Amino acid sequence: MMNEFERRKKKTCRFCENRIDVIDYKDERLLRRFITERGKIVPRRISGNCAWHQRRLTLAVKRARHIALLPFTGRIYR
Amino acid sequence: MMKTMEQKEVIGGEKLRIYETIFVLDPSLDEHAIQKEIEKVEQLIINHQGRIIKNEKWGMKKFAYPIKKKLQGYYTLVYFEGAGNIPTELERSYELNESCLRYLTVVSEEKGKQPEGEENKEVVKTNASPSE
Repeated sequence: MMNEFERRKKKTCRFCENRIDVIDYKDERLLRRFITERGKIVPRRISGNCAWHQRRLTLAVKRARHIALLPFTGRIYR
Repeated sequence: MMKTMEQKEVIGGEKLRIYETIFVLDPSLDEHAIQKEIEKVEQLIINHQGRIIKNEKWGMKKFAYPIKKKLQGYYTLVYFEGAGNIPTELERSYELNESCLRYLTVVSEEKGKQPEGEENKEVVKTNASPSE
């Protein structure tokens, strides 16, 4: 169990690495990387974002949704 | 910079901030009507002692989801500096305007992203200091 944990590559916050402190809600291409196909915000445990940036990101996604740059829900495949 | 100092005195100590407002217009409007609506918003900002910094027209953009059964809209983004009553006034005029499908006004926090970003940063700082 411990070994498996150690082998896993540690995810790092992409915004911390690139020193981005303002996440722009108008940057649709950036935000699209952090939502799933169905329009959900990708959780921190998957994306590896730090808590501070995840909060900023969430706010940006929600603003972008309001002005219809991003969907609230994506396509549903049946 | 001098300009902002003057404006601050006119308003009399009220805190000035840089805001960005984005609004989406009905796609069925013609070019002339769109231009008129944009001018209306700008005029409202100016009438309330605001200063327009930049105006970006994104043009027609497809929506991520339909709004009032429309699939696209005309996006305009305006950066401006002014007192806190302007966003309230803007909101009121957007609500009354039937051709405005969506709007969003937030305090601008862009730094260093645009060429004039450095200047923005300074302005924000000078605005923040008197309220301390």
